[in-house]
Amino acid sequence: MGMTFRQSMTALHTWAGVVLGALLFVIFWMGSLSVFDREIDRWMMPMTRLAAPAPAGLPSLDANLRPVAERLAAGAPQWTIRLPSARAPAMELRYPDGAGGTVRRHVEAASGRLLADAGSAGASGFFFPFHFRLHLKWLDIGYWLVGLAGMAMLVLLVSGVIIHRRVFSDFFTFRPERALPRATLDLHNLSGVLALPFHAVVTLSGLVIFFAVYFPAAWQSAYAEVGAGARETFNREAFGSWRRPPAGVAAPLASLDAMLAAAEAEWQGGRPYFVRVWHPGDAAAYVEVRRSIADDITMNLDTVYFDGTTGAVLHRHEAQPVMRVQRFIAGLHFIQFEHGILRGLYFLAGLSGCLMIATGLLFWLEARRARHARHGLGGVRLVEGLTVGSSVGLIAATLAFLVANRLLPLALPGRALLEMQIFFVAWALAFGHAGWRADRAWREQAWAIAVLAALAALLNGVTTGDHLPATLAAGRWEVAGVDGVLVLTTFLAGCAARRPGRRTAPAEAGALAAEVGRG
Amino acid sequence: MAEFAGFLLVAACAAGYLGFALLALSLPRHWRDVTGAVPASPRRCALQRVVGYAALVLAFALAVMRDGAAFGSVLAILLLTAVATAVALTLSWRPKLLAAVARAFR
Repeated sequence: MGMTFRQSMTALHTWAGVVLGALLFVIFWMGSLSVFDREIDRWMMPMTRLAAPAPAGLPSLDANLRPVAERLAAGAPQWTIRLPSARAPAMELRYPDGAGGTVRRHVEAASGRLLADAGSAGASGFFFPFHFRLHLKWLDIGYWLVGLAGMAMLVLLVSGVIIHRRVFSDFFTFRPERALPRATLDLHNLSGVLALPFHAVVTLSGLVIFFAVYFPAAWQSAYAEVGAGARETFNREAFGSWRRPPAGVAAPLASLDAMLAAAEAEWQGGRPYFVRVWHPGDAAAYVEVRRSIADDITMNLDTVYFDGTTGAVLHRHEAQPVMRVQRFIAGLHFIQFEHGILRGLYFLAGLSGCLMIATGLLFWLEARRARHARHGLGGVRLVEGLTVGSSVGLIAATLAFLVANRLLPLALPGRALLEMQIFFVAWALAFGHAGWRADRAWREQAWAIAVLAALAALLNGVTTGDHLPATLAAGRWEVAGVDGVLVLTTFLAGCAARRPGRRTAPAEAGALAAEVGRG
Repeated sequence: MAEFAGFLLVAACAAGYLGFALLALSLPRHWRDVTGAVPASPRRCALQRVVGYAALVLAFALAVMRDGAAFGSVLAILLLTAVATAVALTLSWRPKLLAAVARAFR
């Protein structure tokens, strides 16, 4: 080939970006939404829009949750409770439905009132798994595709810095008045360089979270001599997953409140946030109590296991040094801590990643459009369809999902599944529309985004009474925040749709592509 | 520091914005856009850079004072990303807003 180093890095950056850009946009978009998953959950599940719990004291699980859990999850091999928090004030009960799925129900912590079935997966049940698994469970292929995209993102960041000719002199440069390819490249470089620390940390930490999936040799070689139980032993020593089989003899469950109090004493005031009852009603029942991860970046693994029938402590776990490092890096990515300003900044930085990916793809298109048309190549057509569908089309499908959430009647059977199906149908339509309308699809889908976002905010006000002026006045930021972002989206998408497209003469686009180095 | 949390946050944003504005002004292109004048001495550019970097360090320190080392460092990096973007957009749309900063270093 006889390429210089920079040319080879340019080819690498171009190809990795064009092949995986669409997938990367999906991952960044769903990750950005997951930053506010609990808040979007409350928007999508109006029955859970309760007042924040009192900071002191814990609700009584024995009085307010057990009767509900023992009625709903009768016969389930285990059930889980998430205690109320500022971001999710309703207690959440989860148990397996016996058909491979999980049932999620909410309980008002103060009264023990079972709230109506939400009939929705919400953001935490749809956007969040989408972000790391793409909802592809077969052979764990979703994890591997996300992992491949994550590795590619690291390659793109490094090669992007190498091929960027003037990192420092162009550090603040954005020329929106210039023609499309130049303005797009400015925006790509600006978002890429300014948010580089965030993009690098968030990509690397995302890979580190799943080290056991992506780098199984690490634990397989260390636990090789254990034999068949290697995975279980590793999980117990690293994550504190303690297990024992049921006895098959019935026995009542001891007081959960006493176990919570014992756990708090064990952690010198550290609060529990998660309780799981294993084999409820069995003589070998045991209760897993995990410590809150809300006040530190490192997601601690402090867990206490109690005997279900006597309340005696069976096992304690704390993260060992290596796992503490892993949990710090993972905590930087998960942001399960309570810090509103940081949460907002993560959201913006995530969106800047979406912008960087979309402008990178758009620059590729604009630099080649004329040449491909001249030579009768189909590359631009294909990449344009993929880019439109996976960027603006994905945003439109997300908004269609929110609109469906406010339109479908609550009593509808299979409502949660229907919401998700509407998302995928809307997304497929966006791809189809992009293939049909080619370069006009950008503008038309921007209009669709503007209309859908306005509709979602409007429908929330109509169906729940929590319209934006009311929630702003009452300081209910979780609902007001989602509606506010929807209104802002309408405004921005409207501006983008009305913006006159300024194409350059093919000669200038070609010169710019040559300057960057043709991929 | 809880009673000063709001103040420290605003101060960190202001120091970061000012620091990046000075670093931008030390580049000939942006100096011309803001002042309309030709770039002057290398000494002035060097001074702008020193003060600019010092302001960024101050912004980092203020964020760490507000939230401790762990949360403060993460906050500082993301805040600096946000204010650097704000400086870039100021230069694109309203460069004259930075004329006062430029005058201080004429």
